[in-house]
Amino acid sequence: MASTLAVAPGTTDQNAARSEFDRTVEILRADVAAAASHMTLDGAARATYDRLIRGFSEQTRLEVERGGLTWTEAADRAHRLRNMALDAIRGRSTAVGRAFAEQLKAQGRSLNELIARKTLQLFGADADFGRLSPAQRDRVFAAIVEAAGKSNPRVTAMMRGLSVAGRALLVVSIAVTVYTVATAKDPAAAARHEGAVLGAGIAGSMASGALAGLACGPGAPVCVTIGAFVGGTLAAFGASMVF
Amino acid sequence: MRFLDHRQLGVAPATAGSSAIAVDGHSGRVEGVVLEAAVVLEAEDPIQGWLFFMTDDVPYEDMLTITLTDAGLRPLDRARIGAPYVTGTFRAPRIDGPGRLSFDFIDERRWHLAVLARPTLALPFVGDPRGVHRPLRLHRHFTLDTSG
Repeated sequence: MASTLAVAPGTTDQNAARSEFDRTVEILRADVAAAASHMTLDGAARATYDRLIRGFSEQTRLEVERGGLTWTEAADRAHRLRNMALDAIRGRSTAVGRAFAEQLKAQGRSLNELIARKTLQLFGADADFGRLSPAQRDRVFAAIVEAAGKSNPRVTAMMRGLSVAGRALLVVSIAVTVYTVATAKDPAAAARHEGAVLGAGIAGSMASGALAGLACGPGAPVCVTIGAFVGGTLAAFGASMVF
Repeated sequence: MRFLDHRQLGVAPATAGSSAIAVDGHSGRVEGVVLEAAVVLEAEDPIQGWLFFMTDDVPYEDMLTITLTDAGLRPLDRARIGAPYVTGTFRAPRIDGPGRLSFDFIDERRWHLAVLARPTLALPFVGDPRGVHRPLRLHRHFTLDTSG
């Protein structure tokens, strides 16, 4: 009897410790799922961007071939469309992705600078656009249309890697959730709990990332990442207490 | 330290995103496609070697790769400046003193580079201005800053 009394409080402590451990693991899983969502969304935005600018460039080139545009007009249009695509895709990135993109102020090239640069690349260091023949000028404009359809392959490869890693983490998160629900004593309650914690973690991370973006100002990736992580953790913790 | 005329170097495309460089009877490979500037480090500099400034020929999302090599074109250190969806233009490079130069590229800031006499211990991801990416190494052979 004495040994029973001695064991009972220890079991309660162990249960509390186990419960605390389970909650910590749950929150960690919610954070992983939130990070995976950011990575997947930014990877998808990058893929859209690549398709968009390639499409704009190709369409513009085809319009010249059909006689609808001159190469001069095409270069001007490709230049403007590329800048519009840039703004559009930043809007589709997550707060963290946007903060990384906005950490540096672009020091872009005007259309005239592009013309001068492409002239030198195509016709040598001593070339002068003003002295080129109309056909040579068209080659310069065509090169600008082509350049407007190119994204940096280093960035694309990095974003593709992030996207693949994000999707893999999401699959693992979902698999662990399915296992947890399937092996629970009350699968319906476990499903509600898991859904609430993971959902709150992801939604909290997205929302607090956006808020951190406003609070930290544009181009503060470390601040926004920390904000997204803290928000996701707090939301997952809150959900695990409530559900 | 002095800038080399581009005609003093041989630059040819190598694997995707990198170029083969030939100068002074030596050959090597650097990352980047378009040579923006090449600098020779001479006796008065901290080391003798070469600095190459290369961009990716992606006018709307260009990054600048800086490669420091020894006199035999063996790479000593490398850094890349840039970010997704942002572009830069390499402009106004200037020699500021032995082993030191500055240039414009991105972010409306003047970038200052200093070559070190020997590699110094450095932690990855810290100590560089924002937008600088380096290979995962525990040493640096040149520093970059935007303060001065």
